[in-house]
Amino acid sequence: MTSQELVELAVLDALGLLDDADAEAFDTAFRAAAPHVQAHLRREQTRMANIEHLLPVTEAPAALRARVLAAVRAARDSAEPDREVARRLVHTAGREGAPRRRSARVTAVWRTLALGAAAAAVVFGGLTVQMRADYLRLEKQLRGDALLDKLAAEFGPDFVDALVDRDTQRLTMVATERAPAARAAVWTHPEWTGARFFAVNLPHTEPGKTYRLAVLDDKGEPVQVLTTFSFSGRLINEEIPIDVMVSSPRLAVVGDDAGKELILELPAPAPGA
Amino acid sequence: MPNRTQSGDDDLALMQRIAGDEDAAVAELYDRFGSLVFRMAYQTMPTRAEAEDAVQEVFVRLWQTADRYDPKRAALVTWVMLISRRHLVDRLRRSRARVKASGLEEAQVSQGPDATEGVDSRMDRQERFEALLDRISTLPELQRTVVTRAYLGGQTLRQIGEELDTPLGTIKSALSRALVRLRERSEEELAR
Repeated sequence: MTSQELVELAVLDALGLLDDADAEAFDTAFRAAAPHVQAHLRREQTRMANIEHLLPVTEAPAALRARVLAAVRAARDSAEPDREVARRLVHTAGREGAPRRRSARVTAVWRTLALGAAAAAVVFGGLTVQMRADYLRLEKQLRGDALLDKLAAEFGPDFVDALVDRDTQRLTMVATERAPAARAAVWTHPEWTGARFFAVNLPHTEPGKTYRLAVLDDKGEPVQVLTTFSFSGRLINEEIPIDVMVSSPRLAVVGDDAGKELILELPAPAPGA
Repeated sequence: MPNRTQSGDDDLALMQRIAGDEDAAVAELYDRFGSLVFRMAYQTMPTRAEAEDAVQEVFVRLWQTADRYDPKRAALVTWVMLISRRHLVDRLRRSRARVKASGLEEAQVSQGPDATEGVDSRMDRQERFEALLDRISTLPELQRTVVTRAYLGGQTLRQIGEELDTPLGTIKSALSRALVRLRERSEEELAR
């Protein structure tokens, strides 16, 4: 990445205009850059972040402050019971409890290979037909080795609940000949505001290339891209709009702009389903 | 005017206090950045009520991610902007209330009146928006198209690249240059 590209990405990153893959690429490049380059990029980002001149001049209503504080407090309180369970589990394991909260994004902790592999096994164990019995056995096992605690910390307590919740709907995608080992699924739950897309075992993407999770039209052409991602061996875990799932779309993982080959596809619903 | 020149250490301490569930720290964060976040939300969301809801969600998100803040990576204002902008764009996409991005005229139409705001406020909002569109309209064509679709319309850069049949790198460069140019023009106007 040239310094010019780095500055361009810094501007876009500061305004939240990069997708996850590009934001991660920028973050990696930023951390690898020399200290004076980092300082320059940081200054540029701070300048861009101060975009008040592009914003309308208006005042937030005075009551909004109290509503914001109440919303944060409510979110914290709703997470508290699950956090207490996690603390007890950790205490049983003889370790210090750490704050847990709902999180939709991947953290550094998650990126450790061991946890990635373990969670992939957990998630894709859930994609088999054994369903509920397996989930209950899995939960028991998880409680035993405190992996549940790690999953709660990474994905949020609601995700752990979803592993064994009868209301969780799991739609498994079918791999094509292009990548027969690839596995992916979309999970939805009535209480979630978004659906979750998981994928693993895809062919690794080349630098600068991505896969797209897209809605296809009748001719198999992508008409709406729900998310893009690169794959380097770690479990893909992306939130996607739930309203798309309601309409039972023809959903597929396809190559990026240069190649539209099908990697995985969601089978059409059975008649009468 | 919010004080955003505090040191990285102070910023880190504040976010650590927020991660430690300290109510006063959340209040301090709101006092520093609440106005900025609200103005961003007001610009992005179709109605004032939705902007207010979005601000609440942004601050919940800031609380959720407080333990990930790294002052070496970004100033706190940048972090707040990043989290806010991403959330607003996500919200916009989900509500399917995006600004029609095929032309500036359509963008103006979609910023229609909000029954919850007064006439003066609405006029001011419209004037400000038109001033922004004026600035955008002076940009070269590609920059104008990209900034309208991405910054105002909430489209991803990849979507824009696909729809314009233009390489992603070109889209990124055009948008970055457009935003820098808009910032510079605004700074020039303020200096007059």
